[in-house]
Amino acid sequence: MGIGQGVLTATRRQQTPAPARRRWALLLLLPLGVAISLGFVVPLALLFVKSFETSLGYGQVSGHLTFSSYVTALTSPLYRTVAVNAFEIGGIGTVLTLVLSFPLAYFIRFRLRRGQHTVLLLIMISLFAGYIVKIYAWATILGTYGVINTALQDIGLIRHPLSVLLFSKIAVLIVVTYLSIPVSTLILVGAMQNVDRSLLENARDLGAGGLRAVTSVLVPLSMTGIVASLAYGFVVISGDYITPQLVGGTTGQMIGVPISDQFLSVGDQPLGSALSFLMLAVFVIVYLVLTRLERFKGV
Amino acid sequence: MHGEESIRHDLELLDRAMTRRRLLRGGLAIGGGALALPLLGACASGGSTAATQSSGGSIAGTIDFISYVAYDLKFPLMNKWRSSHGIDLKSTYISDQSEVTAKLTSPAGHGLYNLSSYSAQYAPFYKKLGILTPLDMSKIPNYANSMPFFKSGKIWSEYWNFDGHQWGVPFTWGYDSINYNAAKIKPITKTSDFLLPELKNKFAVADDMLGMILMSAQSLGIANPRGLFTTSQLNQIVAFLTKMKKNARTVASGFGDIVNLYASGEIVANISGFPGMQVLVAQKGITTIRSALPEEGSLSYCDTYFIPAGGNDTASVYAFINECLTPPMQAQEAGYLQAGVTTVNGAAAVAAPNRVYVPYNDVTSLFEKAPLFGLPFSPPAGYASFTDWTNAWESVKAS
Repeated sequence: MGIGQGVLTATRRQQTPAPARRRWALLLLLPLGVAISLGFVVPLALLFVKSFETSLGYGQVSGHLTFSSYVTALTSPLYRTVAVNAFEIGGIGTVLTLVLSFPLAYFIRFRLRRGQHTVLLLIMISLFAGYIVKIYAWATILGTYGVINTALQDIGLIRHPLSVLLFSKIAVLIVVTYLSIPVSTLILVGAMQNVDRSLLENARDLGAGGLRAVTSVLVPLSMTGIVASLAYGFVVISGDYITPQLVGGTTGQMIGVPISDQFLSVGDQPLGSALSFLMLAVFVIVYLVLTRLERFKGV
Repeated sequence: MHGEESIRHDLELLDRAMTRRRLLRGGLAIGGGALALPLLGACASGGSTAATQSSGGSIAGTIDFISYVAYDLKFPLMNKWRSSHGIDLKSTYISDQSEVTAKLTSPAGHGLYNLSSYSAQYAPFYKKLGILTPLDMSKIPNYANSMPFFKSGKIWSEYWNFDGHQWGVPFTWGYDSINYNAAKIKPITKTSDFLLPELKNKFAVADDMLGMILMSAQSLGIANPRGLFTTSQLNQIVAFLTKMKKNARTVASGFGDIVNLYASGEIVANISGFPGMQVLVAQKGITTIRSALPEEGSLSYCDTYFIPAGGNDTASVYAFINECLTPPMQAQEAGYLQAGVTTVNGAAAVAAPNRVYVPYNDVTSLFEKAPLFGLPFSPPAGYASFTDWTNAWESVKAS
């Protein structure tokens, strides 16, 4: 194709009417739409219907629709206790994740002159390691005879092992934060890619200190990534049901565990579904609140 | 599976929330397999057919199995037998008995499976749901060699043979024990010992609803064979368990998890457990774990093969059930499932390391001290239901 022909084609493309372009865009999005519908929307809709069905116990349900599962979920002190615990750990863990991953993302984006891609690749590789394997690794590190207790004893800071390091809320917080940092960092690096380095330099030239430049320029311009990171962290951490079981001990129970038990042990699928949807409602509310933060973008 | 994937698989098997039978998967993953392999090697040359009474006719076909991992008995000797008879095995694994209930009672699940298992106490409930098929016992001649407890008597007529039919074939059983590290603490003999201050933060409670509730009931002196508790009694049990949980180091997600906690030195005792844990922990270098049946008593379990209503191609299923009752297969099964076997000749064939799981010399006495408790699926008015039990256990865990 010659240059003239190419220009002609480009011109024709520009001349393609907007409705036609929209049709093409919709056509291209169709496979994704079908995949999301079949893999996400339809199962979610089925689960939603299930949450209104009547449990006959032991895995059986009747088609009679009722709000009873929602009433149980909302009025039972048991679920309230573990939900509060989950949101508490989710909230603190999410903030910790952001506090730790933001500087890391900043360092990768603005301080690393070379090897950015290698570091990002290493972070991604860390995601390939098994979830449960990583939790077990932390159990080993935090244990009575684990690396931390042994080191603290060796340097004379403690005489007896700290039993609070494992099988506690602290243990759950440490592990869930660790598990969330890689994805959070990737999200933040992605958001910071759109921030021109010269804007930070200009802020410094105008007299802002390093911290001021970050809080006044980088944070607002990365707000989309920060919101995404917070939303991701809160959903993943609050909904975790493996970590509390493995390192939470007698005090770290979270709402994911009873939800899982409703499906796997109790056989009350409507109640499990209702609890899941109430969790989802909380997540949506939190997300909507977080998106309000985006108003600060570009301040 | 290789490398990390394999490790991950094992860990997942070990450490998901477990009931006793989920433990079997965990035990299999690290212990049972390792223990069984030498025995499998030793026995692999001993064909099973010599001691088998053949059920006759062509048995080629497909077994569509739904139950716990390992209950399809996929050890080499059984695999060899299946392939030599042209029997395919398609397995669907569950994590709780309620999944069998849900699958077999749903229209979509009807006729999909021709072999499953139930915990003995589920039999009347399953009969009521219409998901059991009366068995043609002429096709399972090896059942005649079962120990007396499994082929006659009160329990037999409640859970396996009632309304004029045989509904299931018991194939594996055991009991819940307490375990402790004899090198670290003095022997624990009672369930109530787990409330003592000297055990504070030193033991694990298993996430085993049935075991914990029934052992607590025994300790409180309020257990009865039908598993019926008033609401007030259930509250007593919850209070007892809550106190125990607050004294514990952790609520372990499964028995496999407890084995790891012994190995890492985090705990010196656990409740509930099973005698095979001595073997599993020994494989991690600690040979001082001991098991005890609590003085107050404990509970037993017995799992039973059955043919779901609507199941087709049953010739291969009957042959499989019959074959698993032969002595060579029973000997393998004991190590593979780390549990007791049900036939007289089978028990005699079990190798010494695998005889620690149940007291074969005194089965009746064991079932007196650790009964096969009934479960309250449809309790009389004023008594807690099975769902109440599960909610009670959830509240203990969340307390």
